[in-house]
Amino acid sequence: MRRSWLLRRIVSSLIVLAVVLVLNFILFRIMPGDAVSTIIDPNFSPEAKARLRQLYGLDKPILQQFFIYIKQMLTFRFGLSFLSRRPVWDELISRLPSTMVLMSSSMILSAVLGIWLGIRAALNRGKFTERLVLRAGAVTSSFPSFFIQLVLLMLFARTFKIFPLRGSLSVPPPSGVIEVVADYVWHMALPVLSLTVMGFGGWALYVRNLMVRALGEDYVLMAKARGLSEHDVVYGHAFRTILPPILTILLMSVPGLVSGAVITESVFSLHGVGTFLLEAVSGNDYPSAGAAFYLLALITVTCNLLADIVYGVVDPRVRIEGHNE
Amino acid sequence: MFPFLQKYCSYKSSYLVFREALFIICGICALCCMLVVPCIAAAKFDPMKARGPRIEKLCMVNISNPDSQVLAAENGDLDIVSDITRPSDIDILSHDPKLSISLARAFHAFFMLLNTKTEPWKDKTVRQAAAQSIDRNNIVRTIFSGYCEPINSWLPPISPWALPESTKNIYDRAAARAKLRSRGYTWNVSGMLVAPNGKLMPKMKLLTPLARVAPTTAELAEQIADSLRAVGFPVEVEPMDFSAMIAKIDRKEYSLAVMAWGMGRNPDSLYSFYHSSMSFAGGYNMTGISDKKLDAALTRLRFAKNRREAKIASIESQRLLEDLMPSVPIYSRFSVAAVSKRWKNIIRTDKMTADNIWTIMMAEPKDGKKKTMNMILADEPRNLNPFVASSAYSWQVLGMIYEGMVDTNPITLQDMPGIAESWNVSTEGKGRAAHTVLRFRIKPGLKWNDGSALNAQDIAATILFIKKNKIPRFFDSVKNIKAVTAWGDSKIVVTMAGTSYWYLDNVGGLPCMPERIIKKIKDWQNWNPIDKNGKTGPSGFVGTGPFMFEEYKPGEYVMMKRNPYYRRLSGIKR
Repeated sequence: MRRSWLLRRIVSSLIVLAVVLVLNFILFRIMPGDAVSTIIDPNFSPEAKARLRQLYGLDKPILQQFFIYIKQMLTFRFGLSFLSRRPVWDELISRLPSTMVLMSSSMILSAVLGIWLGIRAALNRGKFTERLVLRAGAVTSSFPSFFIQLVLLMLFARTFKIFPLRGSLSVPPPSGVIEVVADYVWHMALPVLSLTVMGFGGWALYVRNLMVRALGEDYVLMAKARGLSEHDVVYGHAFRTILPPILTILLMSVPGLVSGAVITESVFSLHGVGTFLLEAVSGNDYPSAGAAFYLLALITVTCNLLADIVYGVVDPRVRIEGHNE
Repeated sequence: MFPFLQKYCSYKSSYLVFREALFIICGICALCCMLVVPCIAAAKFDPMKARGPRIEKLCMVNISNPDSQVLAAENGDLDIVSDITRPSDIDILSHDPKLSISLARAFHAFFMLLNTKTEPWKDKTVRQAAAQSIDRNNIVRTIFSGYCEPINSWLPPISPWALPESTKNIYDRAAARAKLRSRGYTWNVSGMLVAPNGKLMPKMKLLTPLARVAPTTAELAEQIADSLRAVGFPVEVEPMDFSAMIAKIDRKEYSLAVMAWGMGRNPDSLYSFYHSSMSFAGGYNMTGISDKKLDAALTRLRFAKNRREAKIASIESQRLLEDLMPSVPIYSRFSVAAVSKRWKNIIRTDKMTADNIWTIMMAEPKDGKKKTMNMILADEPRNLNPFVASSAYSWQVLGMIYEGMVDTNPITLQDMPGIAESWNVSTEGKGRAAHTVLRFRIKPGLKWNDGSALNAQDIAATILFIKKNKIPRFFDSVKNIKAVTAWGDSKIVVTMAGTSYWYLDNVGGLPCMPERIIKKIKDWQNWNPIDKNGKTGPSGFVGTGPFMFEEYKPGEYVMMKRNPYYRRLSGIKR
């Protein structure tokens, strides 16, 4: 991997970030209305609205607003949310743990389950296992998330009362660290399970297709002819070749860990980033929406860069970039 | 065989008619029970003599999804569920033997706005015809399954200021056509209106929020458009983002729009919505109506010196609105709440569902065991700084901690003593020098929830702090204050610029806190009464309300405990 290549990639990533920063500012401001205009309350006179605009800094010239915004983004001091009047950073930090636990655990579980089932389906072409995996995957990934989640809630929280209905902690929470952790895991089990159920299908179908193609390649036939075990052939040869696209998808899913799942958070009453983002955008909360999208862009660009580097690690053909030319 | 079949069919159809009639009678009886029983219960309840809180703790559980709220209520996880809006949820919960449903009129009102600056809505007769074309009863029946009432009033029927005929059905398609004909309108072969100048009326858009955001409103807009089309108005529904819709309405770049808002108990909000001085970009006169008689009546209403003057001006304004029809009132939603039958002493009136502060104060567990009441908090309070908190959910919490000098009687909706035991409103000076003086007498012996004594200086300091910092939420309440003086420990005199009967509610409703807390607040915008662990300290929530803040877990719950110094606590076993 050449240093100049890495430098070029970093510079292009920074340009992307700069564009996102500018677009973040422009797009929210050209949307009709602002955080104050949607207040329709006869007890909130136009004078009171003007005072609110003054406090939000919306009465300042647009260029001055832009420079304040750029300074806030680059120093990671995102200012106060219009809607809650609390620091945006505090709002995000209070929501991140719940979102990251939910999204990362469900992503890992659905990826592991989906990859394993996809490989099993590819190895059992035309058999019951393949049909079961394909149909189950298609069905679970095609249902709307709120439907599956409400059915799970009805079954496991209402009818059988195995899991709690809402939140990430009991009311009031138990005392003692172990009890609190156990309570947290118990509360998060159903949301994670629901996202896993909805997510594994996509992985299984994708991996099965990649694997079917890989298993038909000559080098796999060669490996079999050399007398290698099925495990070595599948995981040492075929799976190795389909790893780069899988890793790319995994890394591209990382921003989703932070952006959260609006519907899941709403159904299970979780304090997450997804709902925060939705409220920020619909309520014209410029500081919150700007900061959240900026952070998401930052994570996406970083993951993109990381994916390029990791590609080189897992695939020798990419590593000698430049020489191939 | 055929005569038998005919007889059977006729028997069958009469059976069906009988069954339908029975259903309707049962439905009417159920609604009457929901509205009349509370009236009988309310007759026994005297808010002045109410004592409480009888529970030790109040837990506000955060559940935002309506389906999860219903499941939690059925599971017994919630003792009080408020603001149930979906008819299906009301049906499910009303069939639950563990829950008791209460229903009351609310201050919500839904309108169709007509841009009186554009054709054909410049003509009041055409506006009246449009109002008569809309079958409100059908809307209420098909969309809301009867859980709201059709209105023909600019104040919701619950308001003591609303006209007696506020729910009168004005739907009359033939009369609407006659009105249009009288103004020279005709109809082409396809039934569309032709303007008096002989040209076919151009297509009009009815703005509505997106179905994704407000499904009921979007459906309602479709029905209104259908009603208007039936008379010949070429109306099409145009769903759009709510901010975009507001921006268009602000700029008066619209023909028709649908919108709902919550009205206060006082009628002076009519001034904001229909006085010509409020018709500017961002002003609340969204229809652009401008009428000298109406302006005069609304001015008399806003600046009335006493209740009698206000009443006369309110009736006159509403009569004029009835004639001018700048907006078409459609329906007012009922407030519906469910309370667990595990509790006794549930207070509900025809104006208030059971999820009220009086229930929370008076309720006791039937088995004498449960000491914590779980109440729904349908959204995150987000900010619990009383100076900046604006959402209803924040004030659901803060309303338990802070009180004003004047309270609202839940039965009459009139003023009743809060922190102040009595008050006097007088107009002093004459002509241009005329101004209002509000004199409050604070109840003796009151204490803040930290045990310190409450005096008039505390209240004066709070009012002056709000005035000095021009806090937007209370800006309109304090902007006309000229002076605030505390006399001794129990008297406060507030001098207001000009005269208005509503000054009493504006000033009397301000939340009060101790002067020593006020003095410590350097930056009111960033003041956080809660520490990083979600608890509060001596510089935090100090009020006089029935409950004290205990703990807040964002996204989970707000825990409150009984205020041991609450003024209504005497005589309660602890």
